Amino acid sequence: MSQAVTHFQGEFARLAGSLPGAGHPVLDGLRAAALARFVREGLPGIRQEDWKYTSLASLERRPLPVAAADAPEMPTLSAVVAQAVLPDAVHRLVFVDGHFAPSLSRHTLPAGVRAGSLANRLADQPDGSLPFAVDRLLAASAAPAPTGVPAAGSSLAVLNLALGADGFDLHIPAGVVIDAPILVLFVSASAETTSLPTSHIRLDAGARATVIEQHFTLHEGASLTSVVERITLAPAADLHHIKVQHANSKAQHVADTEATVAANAQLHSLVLALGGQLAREDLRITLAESGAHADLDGLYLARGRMHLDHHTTVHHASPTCTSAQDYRGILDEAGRGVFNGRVIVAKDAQHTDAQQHNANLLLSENAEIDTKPQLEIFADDVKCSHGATIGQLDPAELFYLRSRGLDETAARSLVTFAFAARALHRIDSLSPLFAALRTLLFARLPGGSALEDLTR
Amino acid sequence: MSQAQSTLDELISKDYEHGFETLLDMDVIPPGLSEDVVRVISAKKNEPEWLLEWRLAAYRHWLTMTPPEWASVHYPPINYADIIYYAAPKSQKDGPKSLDEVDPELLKTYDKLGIPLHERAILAGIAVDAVFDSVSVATTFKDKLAEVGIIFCSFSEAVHEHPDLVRQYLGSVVPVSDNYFTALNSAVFSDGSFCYIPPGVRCPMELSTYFRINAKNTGQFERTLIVADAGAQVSYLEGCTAPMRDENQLHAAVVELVAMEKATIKYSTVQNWYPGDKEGKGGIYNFVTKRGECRGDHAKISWTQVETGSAITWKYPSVVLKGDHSIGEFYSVALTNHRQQADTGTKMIHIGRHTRSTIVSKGISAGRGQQAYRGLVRVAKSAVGARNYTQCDSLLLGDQCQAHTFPYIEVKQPQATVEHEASTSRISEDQLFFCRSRGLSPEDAVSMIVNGFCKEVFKELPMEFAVEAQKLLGVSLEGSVG
Repeated sequence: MSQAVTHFQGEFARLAGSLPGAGHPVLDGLRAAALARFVREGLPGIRQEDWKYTSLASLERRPLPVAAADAPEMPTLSAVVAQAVLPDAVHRLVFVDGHFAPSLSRHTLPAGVRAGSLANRLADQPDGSLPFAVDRLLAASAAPAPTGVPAAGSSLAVLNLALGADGFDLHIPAGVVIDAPILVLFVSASAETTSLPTSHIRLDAGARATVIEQHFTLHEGASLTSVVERITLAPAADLHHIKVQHANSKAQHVADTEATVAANAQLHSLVLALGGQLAREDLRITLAESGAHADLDGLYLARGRMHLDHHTTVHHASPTCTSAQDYRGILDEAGRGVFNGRVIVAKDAQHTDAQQHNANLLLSENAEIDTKPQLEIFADDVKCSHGATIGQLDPAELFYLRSRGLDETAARSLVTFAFAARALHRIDSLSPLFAALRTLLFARLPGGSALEDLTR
Repeated sequence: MSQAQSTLDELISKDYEHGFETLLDMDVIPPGLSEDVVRVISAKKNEPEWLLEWRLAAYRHWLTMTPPEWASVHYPPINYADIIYYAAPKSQKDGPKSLDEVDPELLKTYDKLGIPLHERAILAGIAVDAVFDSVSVATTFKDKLAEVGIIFCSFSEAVHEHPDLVRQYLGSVVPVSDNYFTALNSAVFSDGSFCYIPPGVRCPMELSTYFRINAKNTGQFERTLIVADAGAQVSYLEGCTAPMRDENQLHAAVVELVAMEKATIKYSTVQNWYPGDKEGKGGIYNFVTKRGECRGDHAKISWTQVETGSAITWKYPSVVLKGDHSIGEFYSVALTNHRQQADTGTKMIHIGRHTRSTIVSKGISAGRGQQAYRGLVRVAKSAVGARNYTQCDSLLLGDQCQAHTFPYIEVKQPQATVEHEASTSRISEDQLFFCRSRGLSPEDAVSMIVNGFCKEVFKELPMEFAVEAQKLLGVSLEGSVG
């Protein structure tokens, strides 16, 4: 038996009794079944097509214990806020090592909106509709998904069901519009731990909101954050979902996000992967009813020995849905990027319009990119296209900037920044959020400090 | 729309033209595969000891392998014990010395197929090596080619007359253990074509192989090996047909191309194996491994294929770009109709500096056809300044067909530029309406649009093949316009 399996079996024995809602027969059964799947399958391996380019060998060799609810070193409010992209956010929810930290959180959301800890909900009403998207995780453990249907979460994601204690829980009732962004901070405060937050976002008919999720570390050691997130958008709901990940260079981040978009609802997703020694994002979106729309923007910026992997699946399950995807990668030093974009158009999903684009900049001798834009089409009246490019900075663009008096370094970083900033095109460029994200990028782009000066 | 649909349907459903069977006196061994069968095949061909050992090693390796399952094609498991691994028209004593001695039935078959075997060959100016079931039956223009030093003959002949060349290059591009079907082919291959172009020679005519599966329950396993020495140039054509049968037949060929410094090989295929009937009964399983290696600087290998036949196609003509400034090209039109399935594409492996590759793949799915483009572009760290351009487009005709695209791109070299584009669409009402308003019939309109869609590939084909390909596309599409 593999080391990771033995380790997490031990963790299950240690923690099962103290998980929220423990003792409830249904919940106990689900958790045991989830663990059973993990024991059966172990961690995903590179022999699996979806993990061909990303090895979890280091995780297999050295699995870390699951973080306790009360972090031994509870970070101070100022330490957390200093890292936040919106320090002044009126709605701020903080999770430390995967557990809700009420003392660091605040919000002024209207009555009827539920925003907070999943653990409370589990402990209060284990009989209620189970917030975990357990059915599909379990179904996948019983039998492989039929062809053409995106596979449910990996065997790593089931650990969140078996061992995850807490996570972000958001429910916005029908017609409620939240203008100010809801900032959710996931802080890894204790080195040498595993955090398993499970989040659940539900917007009822016509509701609108912006959720900014930020994942970072407050230590310099190794840690694993494995996120499972389920998003449900009812008809005509509209969600802007922005995820920023900037963990330290020893940390690992794995996320399994699944969204279902109903009729005429819109999901606008932006994922910025800027940190971590290994980061893997799985984003699966099902456009379930006609008129649903999703746009997916992404940026991955790998330096040092970082390995950033993005797998997206957009499943057009109904007619007249639209999707647009634009993922950009900048690979520097010995950084490695992986992009696998899958667009599936179901048999009767006529009048589908699906666009996908993946652009990559290779800046160094040791950088590497593996990309696979994939189309699987089972309907005939569709407009689908995808494109992928891999290249370098355009000499003509550099020459132009040099002719305007910029030095080589500044010119290079400006062109690189322009390439990256395309991912932020949905964010108002005068907003504080844009400024904060730009600062994050400057700190990580080659020659970015020179640019920082230019913008002053 | 409904009228257009019916014409499309008519256009799609035209029957297979080459579905006749020729009754010949055949030399057949019993079905099944074992070391003894490998020995029998080798003995029948009077092969030297080293080749028998090579075959046996391949067979033993094959036993350890499992059939590939990653392709998006579906078929019941093949029972390798039911296949006849050797079937040959019975030779008269020492075999035919000239075309006059070839079985007249056989010549009639080639006449029916329109292969310029006889004098017609002179008019057409194409040298043909025709492979009938398992063995090569005739090679034309051999003497004329020999004058300039070109060796063009059947594989068996090459084994006897040019053993050093065969031994040097056989399996050097596609190793025996490359995949399940290459191992099988290496164990039981019966014949094929061998071609060697000496340094600096430009082949004066198009070379061509014509493959036909005739006998029942047989598998065809041929090998083609083409070596273009430094500065040589050759253009090679390949065509295939088979009779109509209810059983599936296996065709597992291996094609190896070697291009030395500044050599150019152009390899064109029009594949029209029997695709099975409308319900998907019968047809050829075309599981082929084709690979070329640009060994020298400035070498060029170009694959052009028109795939309209076969129940299942599983084929990825590839180029390994080892030499600096070498060029790889892949132009493909694949059409799947009724219940045909195709999983095809290419691999371009960039190793040398400033290597360039172009991939243009056009897929047309009609009826319940399933089609996948599966490609790999790999740029190794050493391939400074490598360049790739890929375009793969799919055209969908009918609401029950499928089109998939799986392009793998792996780049480890910052001075490489790789571009990939793909689109999927169908013939729009507007396009059809426009053509019809200019007085074109619906069939002509569709055929014109489809031909326009494939034009980039057709223009790469040698002239006589381009005409055939366009006709073939029209025929295969009959009954599918909508």
